[in-house]
Amino acid sequence: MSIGLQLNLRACVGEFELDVSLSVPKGPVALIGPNGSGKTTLLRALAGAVVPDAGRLVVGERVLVDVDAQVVVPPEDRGVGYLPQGYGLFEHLSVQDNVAYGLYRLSTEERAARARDLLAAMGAEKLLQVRPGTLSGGQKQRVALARALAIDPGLLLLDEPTAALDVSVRQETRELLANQFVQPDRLAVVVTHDVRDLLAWDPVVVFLEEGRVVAQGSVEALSQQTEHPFLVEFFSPLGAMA
Amino acid sequence: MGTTTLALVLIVVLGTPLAWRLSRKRRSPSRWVMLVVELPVVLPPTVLGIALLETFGRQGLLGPGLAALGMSVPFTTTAVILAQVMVGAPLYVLTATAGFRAVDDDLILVARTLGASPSRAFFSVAIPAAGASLVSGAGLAWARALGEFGATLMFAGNLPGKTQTLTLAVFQALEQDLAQARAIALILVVVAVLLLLLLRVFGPRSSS
Repeated sequence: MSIGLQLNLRACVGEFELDVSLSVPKGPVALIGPNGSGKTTLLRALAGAVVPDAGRLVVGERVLVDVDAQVVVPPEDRGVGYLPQGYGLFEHLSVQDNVAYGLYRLSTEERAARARDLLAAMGAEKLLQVRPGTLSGGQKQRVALARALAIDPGLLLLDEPTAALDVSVRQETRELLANQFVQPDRLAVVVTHDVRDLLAWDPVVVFLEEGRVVAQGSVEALSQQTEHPFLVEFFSPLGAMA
Repeated sequence: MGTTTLALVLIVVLGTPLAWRLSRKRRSPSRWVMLVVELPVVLPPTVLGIALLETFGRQGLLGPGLAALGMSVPFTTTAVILAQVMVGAPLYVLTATAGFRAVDDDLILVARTLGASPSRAFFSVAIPAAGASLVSGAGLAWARALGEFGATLMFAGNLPGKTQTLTLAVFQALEQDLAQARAIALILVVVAVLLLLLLRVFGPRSSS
């Protein structure tokens, strides 16, 4: 089993304490848990927004955080693609400029061409000159994903990527993301509240509660755990689908 | 109006990074800094004039040091600009801080993960996102600086051609030539209306 993500982080964010130990193989990882359990905080810590008080974070073979060795790689050097809940699109830039934002080392022509290619791959090539404010939720999601993929990230972080979408667009987006998760050399950590996301991606599921990992395993393994009321409720739609 | 423009440049150049810092910190030192920033808003302008004299006057805190360098601030154009900065800066910093606070942390984090340094994220994302508030704050600060009277009179005097501002000129003209006072006042009214119109166009959108 090749190790994809190894982390052992302790961080305080205001009154909230995150204390997470995790070791997962390559492939998608889904974070589940009740509101306030630390899923988004963990995602932000992986992106570099939360500086841990102690611990270590290794992505693939690259050490991003080692507090004892005074190593904390800043967000811009982590090679991380981050999609926050609200998509985080820059409203003052066109869709093309949003996607090209991380490509500032390329020439203007190269940036434009790469942005066009990425948007075409997402089925959003017609939106090039549009401002994000006029886009639908599904379109915003595609643009934000194209922008995150533009830098060819080794680690993709997605915070509830299907939550705000219409039912009609949700399955389409799941499939779009599933294609990204199977790319070689790419790790993905996804926060979700929807069991159908797990069925589409077949990730390693990590159950967080009060800033700590309570359980970890496959969808099948966690769906059979009955000692945690949250897990029972979370996986209850599976019964109806069967 | 040249002094108010220079004052505005100083306010924006120094106030924007300060407002950004204040907007990102919620701890007690920032609250104390905010208290100092807000103080000139509630203090009478004459008290501000005394504070400036106590700081930059010959017997003031920095006076002897400035004198040793051959510099004297009171009753100069520099004094006019300092007085205008003092009264205008709080309005800019408070408005800009509120504007920056409304900028989602995630926008900055996304920019950083896309390779932007903290300064690039600030200039390319935070400033455009808070742009309307910055314009609004700059307009308010400029208007306040233009209308400044008490602190300028005490700290810079009312020397025609040297430290006399339009507001002070209205005051002086009232005693000598009412028509001239009306004319200068009219200029100030036109400037104020133009400013309000510009703020309507470029400032924050009202909810209505």
